Amino acid sequence: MTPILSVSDLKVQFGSAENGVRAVDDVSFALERGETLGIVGESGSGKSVTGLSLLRLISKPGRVIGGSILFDGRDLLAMDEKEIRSVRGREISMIFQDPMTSLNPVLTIGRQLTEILEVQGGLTPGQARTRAVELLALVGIPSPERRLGDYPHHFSGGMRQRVMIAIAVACRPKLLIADEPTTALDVTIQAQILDILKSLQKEIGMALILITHDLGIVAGMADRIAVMYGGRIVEEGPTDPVFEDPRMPYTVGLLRSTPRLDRPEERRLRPIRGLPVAPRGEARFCRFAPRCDLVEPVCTREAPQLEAAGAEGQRAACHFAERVPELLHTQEEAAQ
Amino acid sequence: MNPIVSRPPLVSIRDLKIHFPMRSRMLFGKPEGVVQAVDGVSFDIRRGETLGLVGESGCGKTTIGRAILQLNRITEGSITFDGKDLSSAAEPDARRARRRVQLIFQDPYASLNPRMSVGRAIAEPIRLHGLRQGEAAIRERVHELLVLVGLAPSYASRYPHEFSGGQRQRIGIARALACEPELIVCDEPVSALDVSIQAQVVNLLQDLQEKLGLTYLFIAHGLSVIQHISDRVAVMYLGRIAEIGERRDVYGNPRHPYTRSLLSAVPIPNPKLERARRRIVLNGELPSPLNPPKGCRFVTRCPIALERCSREEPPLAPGAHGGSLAACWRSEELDSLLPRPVAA
Repeated sequence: MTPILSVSDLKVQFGSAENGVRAVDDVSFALERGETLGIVGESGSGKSVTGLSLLRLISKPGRVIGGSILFDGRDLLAMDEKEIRSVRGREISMIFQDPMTSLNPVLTIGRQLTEILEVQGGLTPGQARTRAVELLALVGIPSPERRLGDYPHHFSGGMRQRVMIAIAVACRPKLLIADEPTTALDVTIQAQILDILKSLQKEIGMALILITHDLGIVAGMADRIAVMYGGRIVEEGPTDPVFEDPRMPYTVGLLRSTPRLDRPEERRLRPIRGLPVAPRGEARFCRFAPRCDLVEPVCTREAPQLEAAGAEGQRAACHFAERVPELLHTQEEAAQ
Repeated sequence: MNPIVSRPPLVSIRDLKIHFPMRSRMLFGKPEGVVQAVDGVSFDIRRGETLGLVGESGCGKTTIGRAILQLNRITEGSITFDGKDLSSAAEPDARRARRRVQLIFQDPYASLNPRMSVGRAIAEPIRLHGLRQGEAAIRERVHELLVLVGLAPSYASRYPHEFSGGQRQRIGIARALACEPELIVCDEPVSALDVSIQAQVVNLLQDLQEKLGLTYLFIAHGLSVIQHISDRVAVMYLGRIAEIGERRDVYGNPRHPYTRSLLSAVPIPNPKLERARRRIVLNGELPSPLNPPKGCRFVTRCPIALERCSREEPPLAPGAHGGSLAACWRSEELDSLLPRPVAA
């Protein structure tokens, strides 16, 4: 079966080619129908820009300068404005971290829900209203009929995110992009929202791209993981091997610096040293080299490509990907 | 046993209530109600320990932190710092106590004056409290503090915008340390930071505690960070303490259904474990602190509530076999009702 989404060599540039920031650099990945891809990375890694560029929502001074995005057989980058608008919200939807800024504060949520159903879904006002009530019930909003007339500020953060999800899935999209959908929410509400996303995905059969900084969320939700650093995917593959046998030292570093409930006796975190630097110009070296514990001279001369390493379907962008576990082991023994 | 236990506590909080009257929107209108942000909380902070205070937004954890810093008026009850009651202390005493308790904020950028060089920002409290005499001594102390938090002394002449989030948090820590405090209230100090930087700051806080013998009240909503850094943990819900005890007990064998559900909701970066976990999903959302439920505060969301729970408020009590203190009528039979967290 052909994948629903296939991104190749995507490049997004902010500012000039020499001095600007290459926010997304040669990013390639594919997504099957109904599959969940988790994109993880820290601030500035390019994960959100990747998500926005899929809907052609990059605004100036940013622009897509290369690559292709094939969605259901069509190239999104080649579409004119009218065509891409018919894709947005209907075939590909997106939800963001802060639902307050993405909902219109002066329209009732009923109006915001029926609008998309009428414009993109082609329903009559009466049908749209019935469907809007069903959608609110679907995302777990109590007494949905009564709440249609409420404004966004009447809702709590968790409830607003439910409304956003209801709007996003109103037209049964084939792909939902969720950018940090639970970051602003409390942990018990986060669990509720993730449950809703999971059950909706099953019901609608949509593919999901889950963009987050939280490794724990993707561990529970994603079929595949893409780890981003400095605008590039540095490791990608099925969820289990990426967590259990990571082949990129950055993935290892992320896992080691995360405090975790399942390791109560670990009294010392192992941070990644240094700071991330905005990726400027062409990558003629590994962007992670200045912070990497396994760095060798070759890392500063040559950018590693994303190549098969570890388990089947797993790829890593590291000159020493095949030897990462062994090198880390040696390093640890030396430290003791 | 633990040498910390035998010494008197640094902070004693007894029956603390902090209520905020809600004003009517009308001029001269009657108050519309009272937000019971903190409503009958008692606990101690022992010298040299880290007490983790955890709970969801609106549970009152930050209000307690601010009250210890004398930034919130106490409605009822008392806060005793090193034997002195802060609410009844005379102004000079209260001021002296203020120096000994410092705060680290979540957003260090908002807490640093953008037009003040880092060196001046750190020197200000040293001057204010007269901790060093003479410009040379103050400058030397500023450099010492910068080195202590892992920054170069030359950074003293730079301005906050030149620094990354993690570095700004280090500056915030240096400024707190400038007062030579005994207790630092850390209010979500790493929540805004990326995970690789978060780990650097957590490690720094642990190192400083060891080096300087500091006591921390560590306020956060992130249960995994709290587990990592705390000696003891207090879980708050809607202005009350639901559970408090040694870290190992609270995480390994929580005796309150709220603690169990919180722990079950935290995602763990281990795919196999995540798939096998059973979450305790809570119904609904946090009730309004304007009108908290009768009886047990948690009753509206509790998956195992009984009729009694909405009538009588459970006291914070130890179990038959020790462990943490929990405010739940059913804590003794909890193991047969709800799964234990994976952390054990």
